[in-house]
Amino acid sequence: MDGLNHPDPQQQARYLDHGCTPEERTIIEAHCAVCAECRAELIESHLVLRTAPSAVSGRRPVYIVPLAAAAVMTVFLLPRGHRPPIAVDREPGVVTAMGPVLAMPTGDVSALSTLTWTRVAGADAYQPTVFDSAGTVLWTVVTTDTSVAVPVTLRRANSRDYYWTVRARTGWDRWVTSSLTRFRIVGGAATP
Amino acid sequence: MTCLCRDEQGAIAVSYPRELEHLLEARTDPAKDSAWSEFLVAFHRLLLHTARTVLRDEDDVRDAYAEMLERLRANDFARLRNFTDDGRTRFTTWLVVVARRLCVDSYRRRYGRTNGGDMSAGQKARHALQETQWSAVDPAVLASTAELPDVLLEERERHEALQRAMKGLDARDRMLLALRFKEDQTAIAIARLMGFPTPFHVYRRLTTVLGVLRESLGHAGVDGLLR
Repeated sequence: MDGLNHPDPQQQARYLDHGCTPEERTIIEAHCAVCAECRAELIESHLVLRTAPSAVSGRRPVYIVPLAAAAVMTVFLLPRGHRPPIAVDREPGVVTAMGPVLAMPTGDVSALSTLTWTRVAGADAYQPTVFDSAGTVLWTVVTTDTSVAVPVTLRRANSRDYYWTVRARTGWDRWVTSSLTRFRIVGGAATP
Repeated sequence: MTCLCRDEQGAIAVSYPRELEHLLEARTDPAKDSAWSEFLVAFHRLLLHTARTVLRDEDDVRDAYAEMLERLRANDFARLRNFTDDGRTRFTTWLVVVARRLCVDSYRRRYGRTNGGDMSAGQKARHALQETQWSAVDPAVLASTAELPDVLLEERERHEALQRAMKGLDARDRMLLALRFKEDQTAIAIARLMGFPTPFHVYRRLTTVLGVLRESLGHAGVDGLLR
């Protein structure tokens, strides 16, 4: 690869994923050191990947619930000595903010009309999301309020476990997320 | 997700995202339409985010996004068929690189490729500043003494000495310098892009490389070029 042969998308992607062999990496870096266009391509692609909201949308893994449970258990069960070291290359200036606390519904409820959670200081938007027990997203919306009415289809969903969570936007592309909370509508008293 | 892709030697197992697999395996038009819809559901946010990152104006974003989809779908998804799962490249990374190129192509088709026209104002300013820094000559002095051949000669010699010293560096170090001083990237961004363990490794390497450059320039009789 000389000054005229630009890396193809596969090579660029491999470099961004740190999957190049040492020889391939040297070739790409030698080219990009002198080629502003390819450098810009790497920088912008890297930026896109780093700020992408989610690589794949509209699909939640079905194992989200057991995975979340496993992650929580891991935190508590893993001996201190085995905890991974704290990463030192984090973005500077991140202010820690607590996620919203889910107020209603939690556990067994007789009817469901709204989702309500606590306000997060500095948050300008909230995104509640409801999942079924398989981890599939049933409904989500973005709102500025701390309470939102749920659609009729959800109000009629009886006698099954559902989970919901809320994430709050505290800055540009910065979100804090609540814990995942279970609820179930019992007694068949669906709210019209 | 695994599918079998046959080559001349026989069947080899290759893993693709489920949506891409469905897309490439679809044979009939309805199946292709359905697979394309599935692909878009999965990746439209990433494609749109790519367009929004590359292009600032929302109208440009919408045009580029529409054109991007058209070109990804063209010739029976010929572009998407170019992806090779080599076990070292994620499909989403590859898709971002391809989508970004399509956005840039779209922009250039509409507005043309101008000299520096694709650069943001900040980039232009940085490049101008960088040119001034590397020349190591006070622009005010240069303006008043531009007619003097010895000043121009001295500047040219310094520039050539710097280029020679740069050529003596490893490709990785040259890339590091370009990202830091030409593109004005932060140490964090450089560390992530180039695979340094931490930003501190970037700073340490920069200090070392600049030391090597100073020494090379000192041997060439050029002092004070890199402060």
